[in-house]
Parts: sequence; C-alpha cells; structure tokens
Amino acid sequence: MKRNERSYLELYKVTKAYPTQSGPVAVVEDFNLHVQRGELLSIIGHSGCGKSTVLSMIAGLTPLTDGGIVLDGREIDGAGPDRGVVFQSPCLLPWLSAFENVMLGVRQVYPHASRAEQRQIASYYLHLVGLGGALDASPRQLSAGMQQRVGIARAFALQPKLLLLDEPFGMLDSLTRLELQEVLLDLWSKYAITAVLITHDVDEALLLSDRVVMMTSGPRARVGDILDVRLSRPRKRGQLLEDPQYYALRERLIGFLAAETAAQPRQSDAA
Amino acid sequence: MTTRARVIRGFEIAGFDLFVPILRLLFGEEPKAQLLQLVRTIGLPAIAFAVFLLGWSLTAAKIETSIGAVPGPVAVWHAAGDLLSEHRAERQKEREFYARMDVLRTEWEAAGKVWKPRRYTGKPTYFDQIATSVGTVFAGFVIATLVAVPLGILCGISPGFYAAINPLIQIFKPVSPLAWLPIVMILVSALYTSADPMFEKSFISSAVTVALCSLWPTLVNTALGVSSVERDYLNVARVLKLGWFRTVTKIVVPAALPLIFTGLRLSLGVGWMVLIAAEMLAQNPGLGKFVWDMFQNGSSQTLAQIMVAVATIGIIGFLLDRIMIAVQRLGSCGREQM
Repeated sequence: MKRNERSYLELYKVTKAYPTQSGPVAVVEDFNLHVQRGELLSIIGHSGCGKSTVLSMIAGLTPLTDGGIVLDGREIDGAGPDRGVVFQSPCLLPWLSAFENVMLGVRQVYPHASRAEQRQIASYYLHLVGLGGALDASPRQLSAGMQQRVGIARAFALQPKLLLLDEPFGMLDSLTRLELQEVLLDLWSKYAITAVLITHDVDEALLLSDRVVMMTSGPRARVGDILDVRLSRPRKRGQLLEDPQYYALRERLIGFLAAETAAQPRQSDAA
Repeated sequence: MTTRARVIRGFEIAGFDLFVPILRLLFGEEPKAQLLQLVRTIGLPAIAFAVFLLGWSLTAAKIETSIGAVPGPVAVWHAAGDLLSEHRAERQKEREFYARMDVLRTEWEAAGKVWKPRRYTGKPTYFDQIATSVGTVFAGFVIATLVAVPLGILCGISPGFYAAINPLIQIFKPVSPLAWLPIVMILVSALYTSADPMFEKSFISSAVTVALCSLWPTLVNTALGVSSVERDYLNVARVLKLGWFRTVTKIVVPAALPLIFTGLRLSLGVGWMVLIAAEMLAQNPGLGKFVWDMFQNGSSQTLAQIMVAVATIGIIGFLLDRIMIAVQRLGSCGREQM
C-alpha cells in the first residue's frame, strides 16, 4: 500500500484507555489500520483483547482516548447510520416485528421516501436474508439464527458506507453459523460493501475476508500482524478445504494466536 | 399455536391461572398431573380457609364486648345478606318514586303546568358506597398515573433532573394520607369553587389524596425502568441516529413498560388502602365512611357489618390487583418481570 494514497477507512494511532485506581490503563494503544474500499477485513484475537473496543470506536459508540478515525475522507464523530452495525447479540427490539425492526432504520436513512417505498426497501432486504415469510414475526418467535438474519438485513438496509460486524455469529450453533456465513458472503459480494468483521474463528476469517488483522493480547493491544488472504472468490467452503494454500494461511493464524497465548502469563504478571 | 393453547394462554393472561388445570383436564391433557395441580391450587387453600373460619367461630363466641359478642362467620354472612336486601329494598323504593313522578308529570303536563324533574334522594346503600369508593380510587389512580409516568420518564432520562427532585420524592413518599388529607381538603375548597360543580368536593379531595399517596411507586419504578434500559437497545438508537422523541417512544418507553406496569400495580394497591383511610377521616362517601358510621352507630349489628366491609375491601383490593396483573401481562407483551 502506498504511503500517500488515501485509504477508505483509516485508523491512526487509535488509543482507548480507561481510568483505574492505579492510573489509566490502555486497552488498545497506537492501533493503526488502513482498509480499502470494497475490502472485507477481519480482526482476529483472543477474547478480551480489545477487538470489540476497536469496532465500537469505529462505530462511534465508544469515544477515543487518543488518535483519530477517518472514513471516506471524514473524521468519525459519534455514531451514525453511515456505519451499519451487526451486534453479537442480534439486539432486535422485542416489541417490534422483524419488519418494524428493519423499518426503524430505513425510515432514518430514507426520510424523504414515501411510506410505500420505505416498506418496499425493508421487505426487500428481509427477503434477501431469507426471511420473506416471517416479516411480521416477533423476534421472540424467531430462532437465534433468524434473529441475526434480521440484524444483517437491518444493517444492509441502511446501505452504509461501512459494515461493522461484531462477532455476529459468535452466539450461534455451528450449523447455523455456516449458513449465515454464506448469507453474509452473498450479500457482501452483491453490494461490494466495505466491511470490518470481528471474530475469533480462524476458519470464518479465512472464508470471508481479504485480509486478516491479528491483534496482540491486551492490555495495550495493537496490530500484531496482517495476513493477506489471496484465495480466489467466489469462495465455497468445500473448495477451500481442498486448497493447500488454505492450510498454510490457517497455520499462520493459529501460530500467531498460540504465540499470543504463550505470551499471556508474562503480560498479566506485568499488569 | 393451536386453539387449545390459545384458550389456555388467554386464561393465563387474564389472570385466571386457577382455571388452567381445569381447562387442561377438560382437554384431557395429562389428567393425573392436572388433578395434582388442582389439589395444590384449590384444595390446599380451601383447607386453609376452612381452618381459618373454624378458628374464627371458636374464638369469636368467647369474646364479649360492650355491644355484644364478637360475630362469627355465620353472623357476618347474615349481615352481608341484610346489606344486600337493604340495597334491593332501596332500589325498589327508587323505582317506585320515579314511577310516581312519571304519573305526576303526565298529570302536570296535562294541566299545562311546567314540570321540574326531581331526583330521588334516598340514602346510599352499601353497594352505592362500594361504587363510590371504586370510582374514587380509579380517579385518583388516573391522576397519579398522569403525573407519575411523565415525571418518571424524565427522571429516568435525565440523571440531573432525577438528582434534583430525588430529595423531594424521598421526603414526600413516606407521608401518610392522614397528613395530606386536611391540606387537600382546605385547598380543594379554596380552589375548586364552581357554581355548578361537576364533581363533589369530597370526591375531589379523596381522589387527590389517593393520587398524592399512590403516585410514588409508579414514579420510582418508571424512573428505574427508563434509566436501566439495556445498553444494546440504546446503541441501536445511536447507530440509527434516532431523534430524542423517537428514541423515547420507540425504545425507552417500550423497554421500560414491564417496570412501569409493576409500578402502576403497586400504586393501585396503595391507592386502595389510602382511600379507605381518607374516606373514614374526611367523611367522604364510600366504604371508609360506611365503616366509620357503623362504628359510631354502635348497634348489635355494628361488628358484623364492619367485618362485611373488611371482607369487601379485601376482595375488591384483590380483584383490582388481578386486573392490574392482567393489564401488566398484556402490556409487557410476554416479557414477564414481576
């Protein structure tokens, strides 16, 4: 990547520190990252390493202690619908139907569209994630996987500049997770949307992303290494498993995570 | 959901959990389990009630007061019957009065004289008193709700506002209705001066006293519910950049509904207790006044009639609570939090 070329999303020396009794403790420190337009980038790391904090800062839900984040030439200041977020728990409002949950966002992003157009947009995205038959279902009636489908539809319906996914499949059983990874991959290739995905699943990262950012374990987490995933698209899980390159990449990710685990005790001694 | 499941759910929402095993029994679902459930929900309470009645009738007969022996369950039952027949007799008299008036009216109009309608002014029966009490408590409850819910939402949204009025809440919350009542009565007679009042002054002062004492549980619970809305839901609002009003109406209030309803239910319970005390002291019509009148009256029937009133107050309070539970279940759309 050339130095003077502007990236679509830039994280520059991003730091998040929380005050404690023994002075401020930095969860994330000097986190630098460039994401290109249309790229799907994964951030992988051990749980509690601060990867969700990074995502939350990009989303504008957590204020930065230091540094800056620039999206499409504009510095991020607070949350907004130009960044669609898919949360770990689907976060659907249980008093609204699946359709109304999506509508809530659609009405914000297309305030000038007529009601009929808004309804069309909402139901279009629900159809895309395979919920065309459950528009009026209450979230309680839907399985966890279905709920997350609504969450994905809600994020895509905003037509955001950037899609942020915070371990979106972490709470699902493995079969449902595989299904939803396909749904996400389909939608992503259809809309060529720039996306940042937080995960701790090595296979998920390799299946979905163009690059995988490996985060060191906290405190003072930063970018440890970046892995280019030059596997051809469209990707199918079956094909990947036959590709020798896949295992080499997988080895590197697991090697990094294992090394971080080994480094962990020393760091917690220091803390 | 099958029709059967729907019917059962309907009964549960309405608060008739008691009948659910009977329904299931009728549907033929696991008869043994249902019978066991019936014994537990109906049989055991029935035994406890029987023991209570027995203990009452055994001890009551032994206590001699200045106005005769303490009445047992049977005497109280008869007193309740007397109150009912008194009510029927009074209604009969009222009907006869209006029938007479109708006759008189046609006579007057035939003679070309202007007819002025007259109202029947018999003394209120026991059942009239009950109706007055229930009406008053609902009026007070509505006033309390209209004040407490918006205030509670404000408190929950703005920590500053909550901090500002919290001392006032803490000071006024424990004040007894008996302390409020004289102030309310004086203020009502000073401020409510209409030539043709829509409501009796006594009705207004009881309702306001009920409102003053019963708004606190709703206020506190609403504030708690609003301030403890899940962060995730609020994050949704922030990501979508919902405006203040839409955040409150679409997210905060629906999320706080279960606690708001819990508060309302507590408030209605408090209101009902307060009302009886207020009526007794203020001589406002209603069950409280009935009890006081009976006490002043000091006849041989006094104790039995007061006991009827006690039972009535208890049963109505219980029914009000059941109604609120049903409303709460409907309003919190299945998110039970009780």
